[in-house]
Amino acid sequence: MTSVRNKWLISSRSTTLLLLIITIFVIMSAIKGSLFYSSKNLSSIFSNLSYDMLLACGMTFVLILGGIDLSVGSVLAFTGIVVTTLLRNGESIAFAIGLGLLVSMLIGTTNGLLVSVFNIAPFIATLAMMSVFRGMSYVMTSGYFVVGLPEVYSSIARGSLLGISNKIIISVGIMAILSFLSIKHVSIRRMFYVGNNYNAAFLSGISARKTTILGYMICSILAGIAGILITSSFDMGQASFGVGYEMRAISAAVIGGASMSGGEGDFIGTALGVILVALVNNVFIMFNGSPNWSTAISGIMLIVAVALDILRSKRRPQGI
Amino acid sequence: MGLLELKNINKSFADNLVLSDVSLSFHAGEIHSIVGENGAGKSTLMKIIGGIYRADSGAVYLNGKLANMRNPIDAYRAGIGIVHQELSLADNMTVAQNVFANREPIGPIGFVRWKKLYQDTENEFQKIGVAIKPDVLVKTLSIGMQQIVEIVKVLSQNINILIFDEPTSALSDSEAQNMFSLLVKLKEQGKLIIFISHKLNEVCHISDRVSVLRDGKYIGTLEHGEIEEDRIISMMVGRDLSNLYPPKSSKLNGDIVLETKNLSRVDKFHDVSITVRSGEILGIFGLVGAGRTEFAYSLFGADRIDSGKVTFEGEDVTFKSPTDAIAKGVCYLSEDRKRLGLFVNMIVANNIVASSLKKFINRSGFLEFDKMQVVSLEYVERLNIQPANCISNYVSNLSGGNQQKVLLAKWITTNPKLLIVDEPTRGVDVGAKAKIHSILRDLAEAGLGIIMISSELPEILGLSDRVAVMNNGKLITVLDNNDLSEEMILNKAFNKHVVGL
Repeated sequence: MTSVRNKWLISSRSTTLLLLIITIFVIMSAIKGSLFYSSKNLSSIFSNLSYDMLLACGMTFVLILGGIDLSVGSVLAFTGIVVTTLLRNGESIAFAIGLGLLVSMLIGTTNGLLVSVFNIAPFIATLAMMSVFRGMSYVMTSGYFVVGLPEVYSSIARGSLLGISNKIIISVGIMAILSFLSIKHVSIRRMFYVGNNYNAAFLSGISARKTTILGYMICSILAGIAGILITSSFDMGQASFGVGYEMRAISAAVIGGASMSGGEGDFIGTALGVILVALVNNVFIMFNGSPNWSTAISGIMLIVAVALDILRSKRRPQGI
Repeated sequence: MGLLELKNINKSFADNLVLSDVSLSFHAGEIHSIVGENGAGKSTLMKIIGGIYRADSGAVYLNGKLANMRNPIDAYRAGIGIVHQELSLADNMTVAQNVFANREPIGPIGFVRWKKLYQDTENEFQKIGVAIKPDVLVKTLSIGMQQIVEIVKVLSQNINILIFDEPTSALSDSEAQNMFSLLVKLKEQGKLIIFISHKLNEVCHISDRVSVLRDGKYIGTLEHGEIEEDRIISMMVGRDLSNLYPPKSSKLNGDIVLETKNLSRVDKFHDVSITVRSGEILGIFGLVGAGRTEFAYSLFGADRIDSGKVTFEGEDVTFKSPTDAIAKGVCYLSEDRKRLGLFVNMIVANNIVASSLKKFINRSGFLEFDKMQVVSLEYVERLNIQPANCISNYVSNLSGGNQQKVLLAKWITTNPKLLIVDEPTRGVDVGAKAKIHSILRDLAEAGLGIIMISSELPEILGLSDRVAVMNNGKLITVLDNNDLSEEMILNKAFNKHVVGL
């Protein structure tokens, strides 16, 4: 009966992903040698990893619920601008960050309300919100960078502990905590039920609305945290931060085992998915030389991931 | 020699024999009704004629020629059309676009010839004597008129055998009358009309012949002049009930668990007053659309109550949501287990604990998996869910009967005081059915009050201690299940329809 516990906790996909990542590493190191495993290249692979990790992690919640959140990139930018604007105006770091997180939470709550109370399709609701908050970001900055931030602020992301950069520690730490909670905590377990069968969950006494709102809320807060990290890392706020990040987040989550039809998702899988997406991007750049391909690759990976997901759900036997 | 002959048709789904050696003959120019209880095999038989299913063995003859239909297109080509229970029209398109869907008259370079399309549509409607504007949107028409559009759509394809599956279930009385005169007109044009309905009064009213199916077998055909409701009913039932069911309640005078007073929900049910005692199974019988499920929904907090009072364990209650109801001890097992009951892509254990997650959390909200596993295992064993080591199997891999047991386990885990089960054995094989019946009786003996909604009379008679009959959203009567017969209950359930004609 130990197998029960395993099915509850660990997905076989994570093992596959891990093997795939290791294989790519080994092959690339063999072909490109030090060009690939130089610390310069590795750090370029991981430069966006912390933001992607947070966004993909949030996206996993929403995908488990059977939804999607296209607004994460905009929330990242908007939160960053709220925080940096407050800082430039002399507010304390704690206050600025606190308010930034509150703003991102409210955006997430709105997403959740639009989806679960007003029954707007998640794709449309969050597409609109994506536009609203990207637009608001431009309005608030008039297109200029927000600069002149206190020095301490930039040390949040740029600092390091035992040689590992703070932003990696923060994002991986949050990922690890949520991954643990997702297995054990009842509020998150409920999301699996809601995503699997919304009506059955409602009739089973699970508050499907509250659960949905919670999912979108967490997703936005994580995007907000990513927004704080990115502004801290660049030492400025910028309205065009995070454009297209939702693509990578969705790709990574689906590669990691989240299903576009809801009810499935695995945070360790998502984390590995993030690494794989970053790695594939890098491999492409190593052979081709142009980082301009990055956006196109994200799109291709998303298509491949979703197509595989559909094939997988077709193969699964359905009972009578 | 009939226009359409069925010879020794057999059909089973998995191990379930649905049609057994059915032979029937239909003539041109008649209205031939097929009646039988739910599950008697009517719909399956029609789907075989219409090419939607293929028979396991047996043959279909058209005009004396062997014509086994492989798919609905074959059937259409052979002149067989089905008018389904649910309308399949595109609401936002015009009548003409619906009637000639995908067959619009087209000009030389692919443009639709609208004038001709409208003219053709008008012609089709004229054939049955109905005047209609071909360019109005379907959604602006009444349900009755939409039904006629659906019929014309089928008729316009050179059809001479028309199958109607419960065509009047959504129609008002006058709309139904209009449709009947249309059927008579079609019959006079030499077409064969096969009519399926639960409403026996309608069947008697319009049929030339009536054939009865019971448990997948052909029982007999009544010719014109022999057609009477009582006769049809006694042919539909008349089955041996002996010892298939567990004994009745041993403690009939338990405390009242639930009482409703004049419970109403607009357009769904009206003035329903019932009591349920601890230890008893109250059966609720009614035809589809009688308001039984809607009543259960409102009791369970899944829908509103407009007026009336619910007393649960001596306390006035209003359940705002299923969460509320479950917390107090009221559970509802849905009739549609896949859509509204189970999480089919989750494992059995997760399904069993779905409604009682709160029981498995420690103070910080963390789930205790070991406890969940122990409880799941216990129920798998107690309800004899097969395979025995299934708690980590996906529910979608279980058979219908075992899925239903998982659903029951989900509710028993919550420790309910009142359990409402809606069609608890729908789509379940005979063995699992008996097991589910004995589980329900055991639960009642353990002190639960049980409301069992069912369309299956044998189940109602075999298991209930009392029987409530609903019709058209109203409670007709509540009877003690002493000397009840299927005829008596059916008469109550059909009563109201007779008045309509």
